[in-house]
Amino acid sequence: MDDKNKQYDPEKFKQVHLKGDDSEKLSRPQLSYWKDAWLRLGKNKGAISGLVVLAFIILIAFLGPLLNDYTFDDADYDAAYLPPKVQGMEWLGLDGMQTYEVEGSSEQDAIDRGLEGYEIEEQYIQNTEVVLTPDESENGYYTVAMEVDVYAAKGYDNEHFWFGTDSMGRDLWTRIWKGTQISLYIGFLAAMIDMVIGVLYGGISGYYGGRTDNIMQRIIEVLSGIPNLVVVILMIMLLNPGIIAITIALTITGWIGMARIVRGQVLKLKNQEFILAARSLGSSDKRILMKHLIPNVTSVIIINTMFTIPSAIFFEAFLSFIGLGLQPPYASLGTLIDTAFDDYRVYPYMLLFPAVIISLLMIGFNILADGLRDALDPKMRK
Amino acid sequence: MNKEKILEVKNLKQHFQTGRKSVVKAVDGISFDIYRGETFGLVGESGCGKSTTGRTIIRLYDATSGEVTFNGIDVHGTKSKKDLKKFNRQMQMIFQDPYASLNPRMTVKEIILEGIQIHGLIKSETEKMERVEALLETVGLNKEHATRYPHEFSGGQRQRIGIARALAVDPEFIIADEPISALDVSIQAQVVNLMKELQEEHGLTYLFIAHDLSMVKYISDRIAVMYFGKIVELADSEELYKNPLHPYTNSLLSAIPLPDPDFERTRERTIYDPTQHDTEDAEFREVKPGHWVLCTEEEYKAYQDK
Amino acid sequence: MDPILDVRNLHVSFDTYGGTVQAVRGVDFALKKGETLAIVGESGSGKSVTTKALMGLVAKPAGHIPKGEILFDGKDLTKLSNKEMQKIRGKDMSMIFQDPMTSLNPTMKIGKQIMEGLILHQKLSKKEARNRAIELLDLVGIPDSTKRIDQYPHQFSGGMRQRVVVAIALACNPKVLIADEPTTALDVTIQAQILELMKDIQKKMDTSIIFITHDLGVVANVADRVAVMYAGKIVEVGTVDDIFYNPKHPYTWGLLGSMPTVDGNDEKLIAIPGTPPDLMNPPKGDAFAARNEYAMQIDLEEEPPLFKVSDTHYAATWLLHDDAPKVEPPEAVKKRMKGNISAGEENRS
Repeated sequence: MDDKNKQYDPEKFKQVHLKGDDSEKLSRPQLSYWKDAWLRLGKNKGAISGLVVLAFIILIAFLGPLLNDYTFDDADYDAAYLPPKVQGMEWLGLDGMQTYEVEGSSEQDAIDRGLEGYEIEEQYIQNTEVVLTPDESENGYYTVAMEVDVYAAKGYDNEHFWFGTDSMGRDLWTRIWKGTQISLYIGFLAAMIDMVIGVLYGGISGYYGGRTDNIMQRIIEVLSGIPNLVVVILMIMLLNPGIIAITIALTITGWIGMARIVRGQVLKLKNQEFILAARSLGSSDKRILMKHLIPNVTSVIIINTMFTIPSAIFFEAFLSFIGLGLQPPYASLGTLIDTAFDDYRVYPYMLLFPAVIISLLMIGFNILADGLRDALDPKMRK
Repeated sequence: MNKEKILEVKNLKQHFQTGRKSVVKAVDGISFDIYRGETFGLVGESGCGKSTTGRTIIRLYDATSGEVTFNGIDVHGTKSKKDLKKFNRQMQMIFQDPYASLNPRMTVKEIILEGIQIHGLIKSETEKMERVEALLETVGLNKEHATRYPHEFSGGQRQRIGIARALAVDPEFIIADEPISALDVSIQAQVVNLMKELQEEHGLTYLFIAHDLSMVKYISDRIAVMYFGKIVELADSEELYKNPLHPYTNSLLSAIPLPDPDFERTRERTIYDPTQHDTEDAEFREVKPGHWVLCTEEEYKAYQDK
Repeated sequence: MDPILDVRNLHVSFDTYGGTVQAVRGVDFALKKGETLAIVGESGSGKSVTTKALMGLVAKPAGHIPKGEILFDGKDLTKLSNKEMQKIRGKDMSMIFQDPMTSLNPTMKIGKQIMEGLILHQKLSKKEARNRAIELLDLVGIPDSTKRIDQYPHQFSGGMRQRVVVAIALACNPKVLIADEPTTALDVTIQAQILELMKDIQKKMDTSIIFITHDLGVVANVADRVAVMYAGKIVEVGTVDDIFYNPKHPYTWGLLGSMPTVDGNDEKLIAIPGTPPDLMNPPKGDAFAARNEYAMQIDLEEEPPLFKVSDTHYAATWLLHDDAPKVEPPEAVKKRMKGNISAGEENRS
């Protein structure tokens, strides 16, 4: 331990006079809060893939309907129930072939019944296969799968419905992306309502406190006591079911969660010393609310909004599914799923596409919101 | 010292309604004067009302009753916006917690400029930047720090940013609410030295609120000791330390640990028991010139003989 | 006499989002039976992290101990599993935290909180544990203990709560008691009471205490030996008299000089300029160099070893090297040194 005598170059023992403020230097690179949060988010693979998926879906939702010439409400009964067909992607099964399962006392009988039932001429049959022989089946009939070129059979050889058509022959590609637009509209509308009404209501209630807070909280309690569904049904009785009714229903109750969260944050923040400092400098209430309080709750607001969007989308889909949502000819992902649900065993594509898209939307928003929470959470910061 | 009064506090009371019937008398009738250019220390233990006193003086709370006169104007009487703004410029505050007293979403520049912005003191951007740089230099930081955010600084640096913010509006009077108690010892000295320098340069008057008696003694010209909402003793700091009269002051002084092992080995602590003397009829009396004690008539005579 | 606890070359690092923080960078000390070792330093100097490592409380996976050993009872605590550490924690070694408001469970009667450890570690029956808990409350000076044992923490004042915390820590007669700023959150008069209590108990139970604080006044009051930490290292260690009356390290000078003396002189305080280094990128050489007015070229190049001043006193500064220029500590510090201190006392009495 004792190296008093160890030899060093005596020159090294000359005093150096360091400038005092050297130690005031900040050695870490400069990072603003948002930059730092963005870097954190970037490191979260899940959140980034969620973001990419969402960006992709949103892009297509707006561009998709422009990519072909069909419109969402052009009914053409001759073209009903055409399966998906995409040029160059036949190998993926998007070849416009439809497989019907038909039953009959013999193989040929089954096929004949099928051709008659579906009004198809025999020449369009591409392939047949016995799925069940009478021995295997319960009712003693043959079950035959017959693959039919429906496009040719119905005389739409030159048409390509990328996602197929529905029972009224409307192009599902256009309808689905239009529906996605509606779902996104509902989601972002809910977010806007959250941000505007919820944040202001919660901010004012928390900041002014006392009597104001008391009254505003009682109002919230009354509102949140009414189930959402009841509000929607009331709206539908007053107005026609549709986007306006849903919008108003969301406006009435959607912001309550956000208002409560913001109020809690503001209550916590308003006695912090930096707020007292601003007041002792003579800040007006408006300045304190806008410059000091709101910026400090933005992270909470963003996180909460990101969770609001998918739940609003799902709420709309749920309403449409139980028949309280949009009315024809308009479509949302919810109504599309609802109608597809009736024939999903014969025409699974009708259910598949909207279901996949709504799932991706929900998962995408949730993962992204989760990632944002991790990135913005001040508790994780050092 | 010139004896012009900058602040007069008369029978100030601040009661908080905590329940339907219960009232906390955080400040219960205190009076004192602060002279221009001095540092007035206000000491007491947690819950004695010292911070509430400071906040009431600067109007963060509305007083229950009593008078605060600043530069000859009744602070709690002024209602016009113009007067209030003027008052806000003349009286400023430094806060206790360096982590909570700076808005984490603002840059140092925005924080320092806040007062200037509110009062519209400087219009041009370049002048604003110059002012920020000058203020940063005053408090021992450099201009590269202007674009940084509070979380990048240490406690002592943050506290100096808080001081720069207060100085930005050129106040005459600063209330320092436990400005050093959250800081490390070596950093405390930095801040205290800085405050002393600023006092000399700008002719500031301080109300220095603290629980650490040794620092208060060092920085203050006069000290008032608070106990449960009342001032029990007020005197020149030297006098208060050498000749404490009130038993509470005595017990407080005997409890400060000093960085001196030999002294600590022989220290004797006195314990204050409020029931040992009559506190009901006690009044604030001047025992010696400038030395006030909250005492009864009897104690008053006994103190005078000391 | 063999030390009861021997810490050798302890390193503790934390992985954070921005990089690795080397919070403790090679700490050596030994704790003898019945002594109080005070560890002094600024926030971020690694003093709290060191004791967390002793208790096996370094939060994994972010925190880890890349190097060093902690020898206690012939075992290296850094090698023990969490289960094995649990047997030692609370029984052989226990800890008192800074904030009595948060270190007690608000929903549990204090009696139950004291009894927990007794039942777990000493296998006492409920009745025995309760009796022992009452004894402990008496020991820490809580009046009316038979009644108060059934009360909740919120029914106690801050000082009384800290007494309860001390009682919990002492429940199993630990060999080592670690007190992490136990009085910082308390008022001076309450602080004095708790310090007296701890000294009193130490005398009765012959416990070894590691006392962490940044308040040199408290150190002078409680400590037998003092270790001064800076930037994750011990820069000076010695008996309390060594450190206060014959300090050698310029950082210790700075700490002592930044405390005002009460005996009324109005000189400027010696503030240590600047701020402690960022331990994510610790500087080369002596970490204190940038704030040291006596810094030499070598301070910027090589870390100083712990030079021996006396059998009990070591300091890590190149100023102690034979080739270094002889520098005198600043006036304010010299005044505190032996021989000049009596003046202060006279003034006070």
